Amino acid sequence: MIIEKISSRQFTWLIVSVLVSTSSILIPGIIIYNAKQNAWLVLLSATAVVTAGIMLNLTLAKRFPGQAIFQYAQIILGPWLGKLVGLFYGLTCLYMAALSLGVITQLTQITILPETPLWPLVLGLTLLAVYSAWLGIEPIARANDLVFPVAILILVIPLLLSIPVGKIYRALPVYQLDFSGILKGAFPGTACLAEVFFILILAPSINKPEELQSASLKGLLLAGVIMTVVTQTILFVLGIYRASVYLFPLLRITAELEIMDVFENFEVIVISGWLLINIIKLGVFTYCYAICTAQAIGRKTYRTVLLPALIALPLLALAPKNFAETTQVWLELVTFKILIPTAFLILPGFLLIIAKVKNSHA
Amino acid sequence: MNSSLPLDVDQAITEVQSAMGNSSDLQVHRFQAFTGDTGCALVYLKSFVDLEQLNKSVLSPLLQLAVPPKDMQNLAEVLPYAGTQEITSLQELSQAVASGEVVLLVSGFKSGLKIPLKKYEQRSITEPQNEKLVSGPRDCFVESIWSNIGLLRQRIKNPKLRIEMNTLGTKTSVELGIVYVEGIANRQIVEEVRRRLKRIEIDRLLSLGVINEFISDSPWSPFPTYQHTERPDSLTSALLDGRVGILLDGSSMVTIIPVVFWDFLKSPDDYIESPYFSTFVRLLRLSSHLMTLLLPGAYVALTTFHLEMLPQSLAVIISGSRTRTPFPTAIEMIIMELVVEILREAGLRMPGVFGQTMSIVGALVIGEAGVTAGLVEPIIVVIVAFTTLSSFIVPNYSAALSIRLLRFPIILLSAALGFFGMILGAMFFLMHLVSLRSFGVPYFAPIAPLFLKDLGDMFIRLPLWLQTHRPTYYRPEDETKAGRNQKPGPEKEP
Repeated sequence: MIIEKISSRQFTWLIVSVLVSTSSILIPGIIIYNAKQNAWLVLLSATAVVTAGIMLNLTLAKRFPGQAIFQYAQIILGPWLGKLVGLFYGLTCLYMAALSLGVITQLTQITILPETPLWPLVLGLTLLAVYSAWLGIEPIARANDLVFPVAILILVIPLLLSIPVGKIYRALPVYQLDFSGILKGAFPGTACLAEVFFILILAPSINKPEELQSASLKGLLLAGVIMTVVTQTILFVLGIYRASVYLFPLLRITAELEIMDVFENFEVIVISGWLLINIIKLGVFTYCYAICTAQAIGRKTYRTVLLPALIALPLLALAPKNFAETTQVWLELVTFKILIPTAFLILPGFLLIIAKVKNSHA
Repeated sequence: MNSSLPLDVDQAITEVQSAMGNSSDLQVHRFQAFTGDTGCALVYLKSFVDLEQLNKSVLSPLLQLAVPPKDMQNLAEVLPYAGTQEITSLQELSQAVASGEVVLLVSGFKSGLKIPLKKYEQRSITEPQNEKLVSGPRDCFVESIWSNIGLLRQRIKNPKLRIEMNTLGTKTSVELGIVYVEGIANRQIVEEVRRRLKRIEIDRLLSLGVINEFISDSPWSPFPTYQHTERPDSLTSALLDGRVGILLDGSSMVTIIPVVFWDFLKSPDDYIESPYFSTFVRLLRLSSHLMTLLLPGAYVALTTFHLEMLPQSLAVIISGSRTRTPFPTAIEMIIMELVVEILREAGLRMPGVFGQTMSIVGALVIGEAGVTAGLVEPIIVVIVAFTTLSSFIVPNYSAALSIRLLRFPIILLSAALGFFGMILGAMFFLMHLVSLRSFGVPYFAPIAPLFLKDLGDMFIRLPLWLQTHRPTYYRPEDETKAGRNQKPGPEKEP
């Protein structure tokens, strides 16, 4: 299998794009609802926890430089179990791609296209995701180089503009003794940053393997900072109550903006910018799905595996009945409680232990 | 099949005549030389040969010879021409005659002599038609490859300028030259160009388009992965950046490869005007590019789906004019854009002076009448006119074409899905663009992937004394272009 190479900076930016894309709109509301003014603490501790987790992943990845998890899983566990691990990662990535696809399209429909049916949106994005994965990780990373700064700019401008509306007391007191709230908020915060598990699959793509660790950590920290800033600004502008009742508090902020009494209703622009990095995320996960699955079922090129994704992605994305089901069942239950802990902590930890045991015996 | 030349002149002539099917422009001049006992003949095509020259400098010296020469080489020394060449086979003979050379045949000799007396009808060097400049040089390539090489040599007086001639086309045998500067151009790229050109197997080679389509990296892409120019100064600067040129006899255009997307936004004028202005113009070109692609789609999306985004006063105006027209915005937009395209094409094909006037009049009349009749919104006419204007600002014609074409899918997607559709379409194109390569060079370099060092001559044009190296994304073998620390200023007092 030919592995395309991307630079460590591109790798970092990809991580930030993937982590920030869906989460920046969905997660702040959930965190503020649970943790109230402690949101900053929640996100900081979440970042710390995920940093510890990523170190575990990196320790594993560094034992097998130039290989992805679906390759060294076969060395550690033998071909059959190893392939099963590869398949698990492949399907998890497919699920993640479908979930993001569902979230993006449903959110677009709710906010800016209320009269448009869902399927054309899903279909269009599926085609784009499969096309980008077909082209490979190199073009995805390059597109991200262009899209990421634009998207961040589109995200930052409304936040800056809304500062005059903000009241400092809304974010006060900065610390309240409320452990259960912090824990409840910390879970989604940690889980959304733990989507970074895809570095286990993309690790061989980085052109300087020795920079894998620094690139991943930089990406994670940057994403953590961006999430904290976004959440804190939302708290500061909307206050606890309003931040937790709206589905998409970030969009609420932009909706309330007005410049010179002439320009208003910026949601469309914010959603467009947000769409840009989400397309990158979709592409990354679809590509990860393809390379894991191709290896697991013994294909030489990953491209043929993409054809079933053309059907699977829309089917999965259209499966939830409504947005509540998407977030509560598909996102918070299946993804946050089952898939991500398994992919990010349980499997890598298990593989690491076995590899160590095997090594000490040998 | 490579039969040798018969000793008898008459037999050789019969062979040539049958090879060329007794073509009417094939001329054979038989004469007796060397005191009248040796049969000789000059074979040539009437259309290519300067008869006066032939009589004065070939025929008359030959007739004055008293002793027959020992061999052809001996004979060549008598003729006042450099570059005569011996030919020994019938194939060479008919090939030489067909390509316009004069061939001298002498009885009893196993070889003939090719005399370079070819004369083309050729137009003189004029001002470029498609790539106009305000203050740059005003010469332009012509249809003769040798004149073009002359124009190039005039600018690069360097022995390292390499010109590799080939002939291509099984039926047309056209001369084709690869030019590059040894020591600057990347060896692998030059080798790749040779390899791809060698692979071409086609009967005709009428324009560079044929070559471009055969050597392109992504043949299905709507974007050109090669650059055309008719300006010797553009080619010169490209060669000095380490790129490779392909010249073709009979074509007044030259292909330059490899190319990156942003090359199409540059013009030689940028290096003549001040850096500030050049930067401004480059940003203008980029935004016009984007505007040509996205503006019609954005308008359709705004008015169809997101009217609430507009300032209230504007929204009122637009909805007011919308109520008076019968068609949906998207259909109106597509019809108007098509009308403009028709006018543009008609203007190109219309004879002579009619062209421009007709297209302007056509646009005015159709726009004005359409609005008055209530068929089109005035704002759509404004947008279409503006898009058309912006599509002309891009200095390179073929690059502007792809953008012109791609705005239609964007309009359709915006009409179906609003801004979502527009972003979808734009991302499709972006994904495609960043995946392209031109002879191994990423098409979107130096932005994606990022070449920090080369950003000084991108959107921003730094002063020339700060640009010390050639673009690294072309992987030149020698990167230094100018010395460091050349900031101009008065000499400092010691």
